Amino acid sequence: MAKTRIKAKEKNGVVTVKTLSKHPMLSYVEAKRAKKEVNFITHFMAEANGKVVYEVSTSQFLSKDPYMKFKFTGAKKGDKVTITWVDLKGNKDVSTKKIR
Amino acid sequence: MLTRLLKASVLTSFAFFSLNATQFDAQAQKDKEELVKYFEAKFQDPYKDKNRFFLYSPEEELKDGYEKGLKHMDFGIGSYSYAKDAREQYEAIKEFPPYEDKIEDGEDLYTKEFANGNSLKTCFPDPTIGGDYPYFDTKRKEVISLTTAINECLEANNEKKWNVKKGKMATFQAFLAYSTAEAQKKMNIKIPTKEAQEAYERGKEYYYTQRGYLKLSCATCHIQGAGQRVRNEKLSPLLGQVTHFPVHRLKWGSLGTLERRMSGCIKDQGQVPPKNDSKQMHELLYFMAYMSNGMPIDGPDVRK
Amino acid sequence: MNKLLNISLVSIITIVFGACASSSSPSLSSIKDIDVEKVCSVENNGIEKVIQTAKKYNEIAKKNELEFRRLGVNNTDLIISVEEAIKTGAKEVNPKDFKGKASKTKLPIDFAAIRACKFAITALTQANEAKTSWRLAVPGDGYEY
Repeated sequence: MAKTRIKAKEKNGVVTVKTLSKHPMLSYVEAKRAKKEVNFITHFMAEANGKVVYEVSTSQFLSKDPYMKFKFTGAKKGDKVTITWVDLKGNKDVSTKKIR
Repeated sequence: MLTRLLKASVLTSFAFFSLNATQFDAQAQKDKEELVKYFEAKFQDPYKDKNRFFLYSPEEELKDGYEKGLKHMDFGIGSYSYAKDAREQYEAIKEFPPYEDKIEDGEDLYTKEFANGNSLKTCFPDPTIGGDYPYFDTKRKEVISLTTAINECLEANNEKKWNVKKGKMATFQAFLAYSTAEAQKKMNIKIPTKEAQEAYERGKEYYYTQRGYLKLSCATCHIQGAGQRVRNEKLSPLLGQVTHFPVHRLKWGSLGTLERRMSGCIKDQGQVPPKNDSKQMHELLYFMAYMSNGMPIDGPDVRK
Repeated sequence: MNKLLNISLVSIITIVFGACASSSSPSLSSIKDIDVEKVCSVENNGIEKVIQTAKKYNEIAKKNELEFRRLGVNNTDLIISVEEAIKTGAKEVNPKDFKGKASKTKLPIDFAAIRACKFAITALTQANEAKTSWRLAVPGDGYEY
């Protein structure tokens, strides 16, 4: 559960979310050079109150421990934000945090 | 006759000595004030002073990319004080500082018992000492850096010395730096004797001497060159340069000590760097730390 | 009368001591008038002489902690690689880096010898030059802005 750290703050109806996901994020070339298995996050999604509020298909261009920052409306303090990501190998991580 | 002369000269020199006890850092103080004056002048308005300080920078970059009106204490965060886009990235990383766990690990190392029952806490009962090193040991007549002091503590207690660049040394220093920052202490280097002043002067000469096959001095990049861009990054200034160590450098992906960065820098000048616990390195750090006197300790920190 | 004698005695001793101290590194200051292009030219002096010159001055540079390192290759290792290549008759050198592994530096042997020689001598001439010029970079001292 310590895979993704989340900070979520609501101000004037806009929720700002910052996340840090622990992941080696090795591109094909990097993995070959480091003699490790290639793996990187391929899909990153945030949900609040049953709706998807942020979604991105990512590729090998992001570097280690990717930091994401995004804003959305339609949620208030006390609601939960759920972050889900999937990587190339099929690993999945789900983390939740209350909006402050 | 000779003995009388000798006695007289000894007495007068003693009186002279004690009167001037506080003046051994007079030159160093002046150097520091001049340095502050220079940096405040340089970053007052980079766009306006283009012809004075930034001859080779494109005008657009000077207008949009640089912060202005910077004062002495602003330079604590290095080049992120004036480089606007780098500053944004820096603040983003500080949301989730990569060194947070290391501070706790450092605290564990602080209290961990050696085989003989002592611990690092025995050698350093007060952990808020980040701003006091390097210091001039008047008995041994040499400059001692924090790294050397820690290793001497380990040796004295029959423990193995640590690598001075990374690993446990960096982790422990992270705890010391954090404790010092929490106590809101500042860099406080002293020059108590003539020998100390000479060590300072040697460190100062080393800093300003051109070296290596690239014929660069430290000043070329971090005084005359501070704020100018090398490839994609703007060079950092000497002012506030050593207050934020140990540093998690994104290029390393890990925490490193001041010595780790310094030998890397000297290597970049094209010369074989001096050993990390050598007299040259110690005196260089002594000079550099004095130049940041009065600035708050803000280690550990993140840099690119 | 006695005082004058004592003072002159003391000053003579300090001068002698000063001379002794500076002569502990005689070659560093004696290198002032060397013509690098002439001395390091393989065409004029032959590769063996050039590499010997390089070796001699590099030793002094090392003693004074001024040895050059370029892209991980210490000048000492460059000199060693040239000496080996002379022995084996190779046309190219590939010196080891400072960690002992093979470096990416590959040079024709003549150029390598010239570089080793220039690096060794320049380290010393540069250090001498810097002794009088370093204050020009100090704000508040020689640096005007």
